[in-house]
Order: sequence, then structure tokens, then C-alpha cells
Amino acid sequence: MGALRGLLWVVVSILGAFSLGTIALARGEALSSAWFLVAAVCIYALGYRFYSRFLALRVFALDASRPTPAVRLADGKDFIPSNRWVVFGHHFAAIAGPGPLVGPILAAQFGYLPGTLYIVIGVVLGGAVQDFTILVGSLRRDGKSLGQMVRDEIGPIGGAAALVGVLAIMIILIGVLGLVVVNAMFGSPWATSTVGATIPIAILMGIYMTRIRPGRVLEATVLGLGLVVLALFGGRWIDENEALRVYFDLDKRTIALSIIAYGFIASVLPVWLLLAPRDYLSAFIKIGTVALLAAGLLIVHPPVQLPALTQFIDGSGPVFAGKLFPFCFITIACGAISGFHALISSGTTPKLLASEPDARMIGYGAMLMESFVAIMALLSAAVMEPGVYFAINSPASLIGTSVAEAATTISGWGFPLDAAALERLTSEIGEHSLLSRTGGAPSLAVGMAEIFSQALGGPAVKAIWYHFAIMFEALFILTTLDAGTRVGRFMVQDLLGQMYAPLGRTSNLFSNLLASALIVSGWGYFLYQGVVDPLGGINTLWPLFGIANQLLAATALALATTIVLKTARPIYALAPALPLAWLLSVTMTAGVQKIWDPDRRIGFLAQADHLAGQLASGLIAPDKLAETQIVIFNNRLDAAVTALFMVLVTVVVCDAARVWRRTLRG
Amino acid sequence: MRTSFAPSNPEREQPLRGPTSLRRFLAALRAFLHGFVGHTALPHDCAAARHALDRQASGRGRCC
Repeated sequence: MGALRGLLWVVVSILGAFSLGTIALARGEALSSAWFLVAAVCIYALGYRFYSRFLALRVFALDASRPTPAVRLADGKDFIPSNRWVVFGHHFAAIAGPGPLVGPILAAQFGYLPGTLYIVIGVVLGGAVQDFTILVGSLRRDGKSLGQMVRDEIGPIGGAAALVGVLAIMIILIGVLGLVVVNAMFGSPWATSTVGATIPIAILMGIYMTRIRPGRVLEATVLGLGLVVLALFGGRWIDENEALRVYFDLDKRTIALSIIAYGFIASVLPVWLLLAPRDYLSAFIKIGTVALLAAGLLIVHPPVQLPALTQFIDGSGPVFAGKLFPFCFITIACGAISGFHALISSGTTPKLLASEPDARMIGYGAMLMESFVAIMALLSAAVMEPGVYFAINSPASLIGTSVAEAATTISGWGFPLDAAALERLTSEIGEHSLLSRTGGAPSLAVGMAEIFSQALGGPAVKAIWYHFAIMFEALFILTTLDAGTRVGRFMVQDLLGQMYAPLGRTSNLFSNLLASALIVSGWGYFLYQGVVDPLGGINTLWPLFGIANQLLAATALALATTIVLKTARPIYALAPALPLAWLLSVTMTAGVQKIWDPDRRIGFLAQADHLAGQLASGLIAPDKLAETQIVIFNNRLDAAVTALFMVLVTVVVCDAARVWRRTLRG
Repeated sequence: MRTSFAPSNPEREQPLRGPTSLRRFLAALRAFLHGFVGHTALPHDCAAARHALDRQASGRGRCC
């Protein structure tokens, strides 16, 4: 039996290596997307079977006889020993956000190969290690949070830096994700009306379950899902109705302000009325769509059309500027390693685990699953015609505003784009334009619609699938946005409570409004900044988000290295220390380039100086003066925020290095 | 009051057992979906929901 099992793993290894080799070496010939799925699954299986087992047995020495906090401190509220599959579902739902969907799509401008390699290798050696280590660390420390553990294990300075960093990063995250939604709904009355309809549907569900038919969850679920389907088809009707469509054909600023208002209201309203039923409704759509995408890829396994590498690895990319290193890795972020997961791994998950060895499946396994979602997102972009991909994701300032102009420019880059074919595709998906729909969400929706329609329904239903995908992405993001705003509100209230106790009470209405306004103003500013940015916003803000996220991961890995050094053989600390070294090199390089690079498409200060020069020379039109001054200020602010992140992480890592030195010296 | 989607559901504490692999798989899948959807902590009474979110705010929420 043992020999048979060994043989099985040899077969998995050979299959994985062969698939990866095929992906890496294919040039010019048709390559089926099935190779990507096989390679990913084999590498995940090997990583889980061997590396996570090594971590569990040797590094952490997980012990089923050691009671977990959920068992020792069980209170039926926070600490509840739970079935491991339930905890797995809970943990996966909490870590799975829009990051792994959007990041790989944007990074596809470099070709499919760098992203694929980083996603599958990065997760096995970095992202899953981080999640697993922080989960075990929290399990062994009564379920303490990341900030508490940094304070206890490294010191108060590192702890304070981590706290400020988490809050600042959350603000950037929500602002950037809001911008993705704006770009997805802009110029699309169908998408805007469908996504907008989910808000009253959620409120109706909340009232139904708490006031009309208390406790009838199934009835409310059927009602909610039925109304969502109705909203999807109703969106088409609105789009075709001249009298109604004008109310939903909104400009970017109006959509941004609407999202800001939504975030504030969701943070202030009782959770049962909007946030909880909306998240509940989204959960069905999320899991259903991800499963559908996996099934669609397996059934259709379309050929990949994007080249393995594009010329944009030199930093001249139209989607975002910057060379392959470090910007590919900053952009992919969550699909390979995400600092935010450390907050979940040290949040509710360690308080639910009934047995210590379950941490392997949940901490390591759930991250592998998230990475698989990132691979599917990357494939959705890679199976599109490259010309179409660049038409959707390049800003108008580079490709022009007409299909003919875009076709000429993009064909000139070496990616033939047939203007008539693009117009036909635009019509098939029921949109008015696909040009410069930056942010990643529209191109992911186009890719998903292609795969879904090939698997089910054909071209006739492509428009329905496209808008279904847009709704799915918007729901994914808006649930992050509303829950994140509320969590941010609590963090602000915690901080305000340190200054004046009544402001720290979550039941205090004034404190509630004040903290909500502060947190919404923070991310709302960055959202609005992205909307008025002449390069489309994503170019500037997504790398900022990536740097912030990866620096949080660096904080988590510095803590993980400290924990392993203190509790296991020193050599084992290399498991978190090596990905830490990689992340620090990537994020610090990206941070320095984003601040000081002389190319104004990359460097914030170069762009600010360029615009200031134009302003001083009188080259700016009078009606653009105020906007230009705002853009100059925003670029300088972004440079300052990036510098702040770098300083905070440097403080944490230096403080941790002091502890490592002391520990190694005994 | 029963809170079928709250984390305190005693069903979650039951070990997964089944006579066949399929049943075990389905039971695990059901538990996974239960945890995935239950993550949203949709309770039947608003007070519990608000309280739960307030209490767990420091570690709860969605990721990127």
C-alpha cells in the first residue's frame, strides 16, 4: 500500500513537472488551458502533502492532544470548537476577496508565464506558509490577533507600527477596490441597475427575516436569489428603455460618490438590515460562480491566446507602468501571498479550531484554494484575444477614444485587433463600448462570459453571462467594502476611545457616525483620486494597494520568523524568513520606484513635478487648472503614503531582527 | 433561539461520519458550505448579529 502511494506521488510529480514544462516552453503553438489547471493542482497537491506536512510535524510539532483555545476557553460566543470543514468554509470565505480575481488579470500584460509561475510557486512557499504559521502562532497564544502577537513577541514599537499600518492599508484597499467597481459600472446602465438592485433586495431580505417571517431563512434565500435573477434580466430591459436608461448611465464621479454614500450607510445601519443579508446573498453567488468557472474551464478548456511573455516586461506596459520585477509580483499580490490573510488567521479562525492538526488543512489548504481562484482568473484573461485584452485594459490617453484609433495603436504593439470584431464582441455582450474599461473587472467578465457561453447557451446568452459576471465581481467587492468599512469603523472607535472613553463605545450614535465618517472619508478620498486621475487611477493606485498588502505580509512573516526562532530549531526559521526576504526585496524596490522613478508613469514625484512644470509654464488649459493642482497634490500624497508604509515595515523588521539576534545568542 | 447560521450551531461540533466515501464527501461539502455561508453570520435576531459583529470586529471581515 505504501509503495502504491509512493508511486502515486511520483506520477503526480511527473505530471506536474510535465504540465509546467509545457506551459513554460510552449512558444507560438496552441496551448490548452487544461495544462494550467493540471499543473496547478499537481503542485498544490505536492506542496500540501510534503511541505505543509514538514511544517506541521517538524517546525510546529502540531499535537492533537494539546487543547486549542476553542476547547480551553469555550464560551459559546467567541471560542467555539467546530467541525474542521465548517472552519475551512468560514476561513476560505473570509480570505477570498476580489484581489486574486483582479491582480492576475492586470498582471497578464506581461504574458501568462510570469503570473502563472508566481501564483503556483509563491503560494506553496510563501502565502500558504504565512497563513499557516500565523494561525498556529495565534492558536498557541489564546487566539491573539496579529497586532497583539507583534507587540508580545517583538515589542511595543513594532506593535504600534503594525496597528497604524493595518488601518492605513485597509483604507487604501477599500479605495482601490471601490475604483474597480466604478470602472465596471461606468457607461453600463445594465450593470449599474443590476448591481444597484442588490441593495434594496438585501434590505428586503433583512426585513423579511427579522420582521415579516422571523427565522424563515430558506424562504428569504429563495426570495433574494429570485429577485437577483430578475434584476439581471431587468437590467437589460432598463438598458433598452430610452426613458429609464438615462437614470443609470452615470459618470464616474457620480458612481464614486454613490459608493462612498453606500459605504457610510452600510457602516451606520444595523447590521441585520443591510450588511448581513447582503453578505449572505453574495456568499451563494460567489461560491456558485467560482464553481461554475472551474467547471466551465474543465468542460471548454479553451486555448490560451496570450503569449507567454510580452514586450511589456521592459516596463512600458499600457495597463500599468513598471518592469516585470517588481511590479508583476506587487500586482498579483493576493493570489500568491496576502498580508490580509494574517488578520483572519489571527482573528476568528483560531478561536473555532477544535484540534491543533486541523490548522494544516485550514491555514495552508485554504490559501491553496484561493490561489487556484487566481489561476482561473488569469486564464480568463489569457484565453481572450490579446488585442481585445489590451483594448479593454489600456487607458484612453494611450489608445484613443475610438475603436479605429485603438485598433491601429494596439495592432502597432504587435497584437492584431480587428475593429469590426471588437465592435461585434461589444454588441454580443450588450455593452456600448469596451474601450478603456480599466480595472480588471470588465476584462474578467468578458473572459468569463466567453467560457460560460461556450459551455452553456452559446453566443445568444453571452450578454447575460457578461452582466452576471459583472454583478458577481461587484458583489464580491462591495461586500469587502461594506464589511471592511465597518471593521475600520471599530478600529477608529478603538483609537478614539483611547483619547476619550465615550467615543470608544460602539453603541454611541455620535461615536458611530464620527468613526464611520472618518473611515469613509479616508478611503473615499483615494477612490475619488482614482476617478479624477488622468491615467485612469488603476495605474497609480493598484501598485499602491499591492505594496501596502505585501508590506503587511512582510510584517506577518517577520512575526512568523520570530515565533519559529523562539519555538523550533533555528534552521526552520528559514521557512518564513525566505519568503520574507523575497517580499522585502520586491516591496521595497517597488516602493522606491513608485516614489522616485524619473519615468512619470511610474514615479509619483516625477508625475507631480512634470505637472507642476506644465502649470508654471502656462501649458495647462484654464479649465483644467484646479484639477491639475489636485492631481499634483494626490501624487505627492501617494508618495508620502508609500514612504509611510516602508518606514512602518522597516521599524517592525528591524525590531524583529533585534529579537532574532538576541534569541540566536541564547 | 435557534441560530442556524451562527457559529454556535451544535451541528458543527459533530464529527463527520458516513458508511461510504461518498457520504463522507457530501457531509464534508455540506459542512464547508455551511461554514462558507455561515461566515456572513446571518442570525435570526438582529441583536445577536450586531453583538457578534461588534465583538468580533477586530479579526473579522473580508480580505482583499
